[in-house]
Amino acid sequence: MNEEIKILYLDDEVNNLVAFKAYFRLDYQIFVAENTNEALKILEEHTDLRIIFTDQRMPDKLGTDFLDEIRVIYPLPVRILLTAYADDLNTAIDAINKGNVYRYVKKPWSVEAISAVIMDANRYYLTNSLLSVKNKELEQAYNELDKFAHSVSHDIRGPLAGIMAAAQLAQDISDLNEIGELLQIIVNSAEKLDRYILTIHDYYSVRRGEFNIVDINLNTLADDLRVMYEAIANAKGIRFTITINNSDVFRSDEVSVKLVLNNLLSNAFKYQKKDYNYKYVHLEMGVERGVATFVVKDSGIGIPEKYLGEIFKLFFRATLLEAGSGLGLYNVKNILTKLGGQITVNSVENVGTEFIVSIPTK
Amino acid sequence: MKYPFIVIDDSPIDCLIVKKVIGFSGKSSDVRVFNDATLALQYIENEEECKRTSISFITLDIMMPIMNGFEFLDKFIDLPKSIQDRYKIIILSLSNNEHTLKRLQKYSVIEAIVEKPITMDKFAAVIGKFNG
Repeated sequence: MNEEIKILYLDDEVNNLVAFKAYFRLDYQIFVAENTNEALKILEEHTDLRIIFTDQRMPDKLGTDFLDEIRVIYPLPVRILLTAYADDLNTAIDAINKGNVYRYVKKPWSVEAISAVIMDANRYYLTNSLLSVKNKELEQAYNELDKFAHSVSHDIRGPLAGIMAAAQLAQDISDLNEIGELLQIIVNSAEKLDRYILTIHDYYSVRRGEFNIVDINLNTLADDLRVMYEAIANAKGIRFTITINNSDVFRSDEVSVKLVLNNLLSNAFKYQKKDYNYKYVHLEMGVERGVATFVVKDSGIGIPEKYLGEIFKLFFRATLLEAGSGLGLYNVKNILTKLGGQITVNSVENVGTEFIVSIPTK
Repeated sequence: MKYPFIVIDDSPIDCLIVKKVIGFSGKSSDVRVFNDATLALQYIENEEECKRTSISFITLDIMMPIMNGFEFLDKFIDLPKSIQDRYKIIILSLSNNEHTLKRLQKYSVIEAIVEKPITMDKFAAVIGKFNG
């Protein structure tokens, strides 16, 4: 049985409903309604209904009128009209021409005729909904492009302007100490620009979403991360610990998993409280029942509650304290969506933040 | 004549550069830097500052998180006239596209608009007007 294909049949003659259900219930999910109110209730509950059959002559309403009414609210289901009367032919043709009805089937219907119409209508439904999904994707891509164009002026031209200004200034003065400071500004600006370009690169590799699924060993992953963050942990006096709970097989895209962890960890190291003696970053990971869980916890500045809903948005920045691009957590969220994973955040201002990531193994 | 300066820019690097340009120009008595425009606003509103009578310059960035340049200007023009009159605002921004310029035109408190990167020449051209 094809559970996915949901069909509604509206007819005031109960015998027809019974026969319809009897014939097709094994192949499709069938819903029947004796009047338009029942039909509306079903439409409301099952927004993924694909096909609607309706009788034309019903005591409370004409089938064509009903289809005309629901078309605006429920544009996706494919609408099919059934009628026994030759007189209705003109009304049916009119409805088809108006685009309210996809097909017209003569009563008494045959199983073959209905089967053929269902196949056709389902194909039509799939093409249409695929189109609307693609349309939404396109719209989102366009909006992001728009945001990108806007941010480029700030995040790429910003450091460049810094470099130009410092270089120009260095030409205008002769004090060697001052020139040394200006050179440092140039180096810092160049590094900032470089970091930004790297996150843009991440953004595009996430978007392309080409995954290479391999076995990921949590112990090896932990070793890599320890080596990577040793220097910054020592330099900033932050205790960095990793615990591994249990390590079943975890299959996923290693680059993506590392990108997620590196974003969360570098944030955890970056947004620490300034004068605090017990700074720590803790990573806990494990795989259980086919789901890998990663918890990144820090003793940082925390995130104000009003911003918690915003942090995964493109180009959102909640604080001035550290340089951020507003891309990192957006990339994280995007990858996790693509991997079928999830992320939640708990945070208390001036106490710390905890990100919990779960990724199902592939 | 030397003036006090207030620099408002979220980028510490940009602040440092503006501070240096102002310093080298020899036109400043002191320079205060704010990465957060809300704090700059608080500073301007505080009593001690309000008592001063001399002219101060503000260089203001536009694209900033938390409070951007436009939001700062909106708050600024709600301040008492006596405070507003003490300040000359210079917009110092990257995004001087037509849309931004049009929006900025609505604020009569703006003295000049300078596009980043800031140079000694650009700065001198703006400040030179007040040397008479």
